[in-house]
Amino acid sequence: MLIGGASKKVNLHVVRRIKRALHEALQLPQDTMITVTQLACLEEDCAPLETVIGLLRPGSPPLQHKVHKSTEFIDTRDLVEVCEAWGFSVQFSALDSILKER
Amino acid sequence: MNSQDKVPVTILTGFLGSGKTTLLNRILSEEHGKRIAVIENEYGEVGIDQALVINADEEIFEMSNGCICCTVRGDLIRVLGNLMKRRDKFDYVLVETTGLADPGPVAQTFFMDDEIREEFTLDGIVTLVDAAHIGQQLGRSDESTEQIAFADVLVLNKTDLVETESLDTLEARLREMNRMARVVRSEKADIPVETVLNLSAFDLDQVLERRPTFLEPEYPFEWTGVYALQPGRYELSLAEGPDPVMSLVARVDQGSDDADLREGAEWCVRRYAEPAVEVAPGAEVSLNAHVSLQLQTPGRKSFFLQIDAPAQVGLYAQHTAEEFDMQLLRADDGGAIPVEVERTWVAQHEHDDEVGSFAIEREGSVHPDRLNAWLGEILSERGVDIFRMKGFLSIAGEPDRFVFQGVHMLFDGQPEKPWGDSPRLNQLVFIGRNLDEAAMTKGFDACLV
Repeated sequence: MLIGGASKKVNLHVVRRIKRALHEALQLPQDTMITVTQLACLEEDCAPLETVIGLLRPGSPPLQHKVHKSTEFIDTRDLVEVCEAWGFSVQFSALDSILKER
Repeated sequence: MNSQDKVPVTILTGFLGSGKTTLLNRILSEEHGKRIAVIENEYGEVGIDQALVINADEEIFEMSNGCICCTVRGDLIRVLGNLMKRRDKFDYVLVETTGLADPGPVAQTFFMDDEIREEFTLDGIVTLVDAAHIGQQLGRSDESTEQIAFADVLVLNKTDLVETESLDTLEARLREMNRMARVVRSEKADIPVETVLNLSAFDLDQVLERRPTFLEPEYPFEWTGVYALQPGRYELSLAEGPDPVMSLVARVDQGSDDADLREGAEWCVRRYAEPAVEVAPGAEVSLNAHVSLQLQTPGRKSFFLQIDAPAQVGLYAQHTAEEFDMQLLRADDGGAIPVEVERTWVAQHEHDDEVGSFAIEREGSVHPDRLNAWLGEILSERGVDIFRMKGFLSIAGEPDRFVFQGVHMLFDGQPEKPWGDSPRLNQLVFIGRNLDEAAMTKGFDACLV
């Protein structure tokens, strides 16, 4: 939904936690950027809010993967799926502990 | 984060040789007290202490999730990511693009990553235009057209190299392409810094404050004067002006307040749609009819009106009275009749360029589900052609005004201030390529409750 009841306001704390978890779990260099974008979609078969997570590295083509839920509900399993889609293998437990750190 | 806490960003675009670097250096060297981080594409020396200069190599990629597709600048995202770590070092960001850059991906970058969107706010897009060469560039390059279409401020630079008449024609053409932008003229990019920084250009209220008429519809006439006339014969006297002919409708029983004038304008639009009757100097002007005053002969020319009963008459003229020094005189003694009320209108122009802009303004409220369906449709089907949009909406059942802005398929909006006792109103502005104004307006009208 673009306007109205289902607010698309994101929780910045959650966005930063997702970025940090991926950065640390994948041991990415400082000049690499993770992007997290929550988008509203109005097509019939899509979730109303979904999140696109991107990986931008200098000199490499950008990678992105879509999670069919709002940023707030992204969990460790989703992030493992993102990493695998990008061609990285990552330990569930390692990612889970970073994601759950305060 | 409150929008006042976000770092404002100005994007500086312009074709090669338009004067971007001159303007940039001017901004950086002036005493404005801002610590500006400059992100630039082209390598160059900017030796100013207060500025943080970062070079970025153009790296465009497409972010697509199947339904929404947008092209963003990966290089810019990375630079902004690094800047966020040094947030205490600057309080303004200036992005200078290359002359050939498409401003779309640069602007979309600020709507993409949620952290960037929270930390930065796109304050405005400033486009430098080389007054001497833009005419040729517009025909040959999509980039220069898009740079104009995306702009909040168009700096018509190097005006000393072009005749005033050509500048007026050029400015009219630019305004056709982008009604939203403010046009400022300069010789060597010597414009005040406040013309380009801290514009809050994405805020429609601010735009309306600067140009209150820009949401108004276009009319085939530019000026109306209302005269209180007694029975008698009157002479309409015109000096030489910018056009060899001028369309006119003299409407009898014209009221004086703004609602009367708007009603008269709508009535005259229909008269203007009818073929005009040519009227030669010295001849009679028919009342309530579309006439074309023939002004080809040199010197002042007179046309005549016969009034049989006391009446207020509104002259709806294609040009302003000032342009032709137009005067209404009593035919018997030459006494000037004072104008009771006068008003200018946004004049219609020929649309030569495929890029253009239009506004929708409607009282009342919209149904949220219908509006979402309509927005979804136009964004997915026409998002590529919609360069920019912004405005505010009155959503039925919601106490707050909803403000929005968008670049191509990316749409961002939120509830703003409460409506309170002010009348419910919707104002939307679109800039894009080959936009079907009638169809989009009809689509929006169907969303109204």
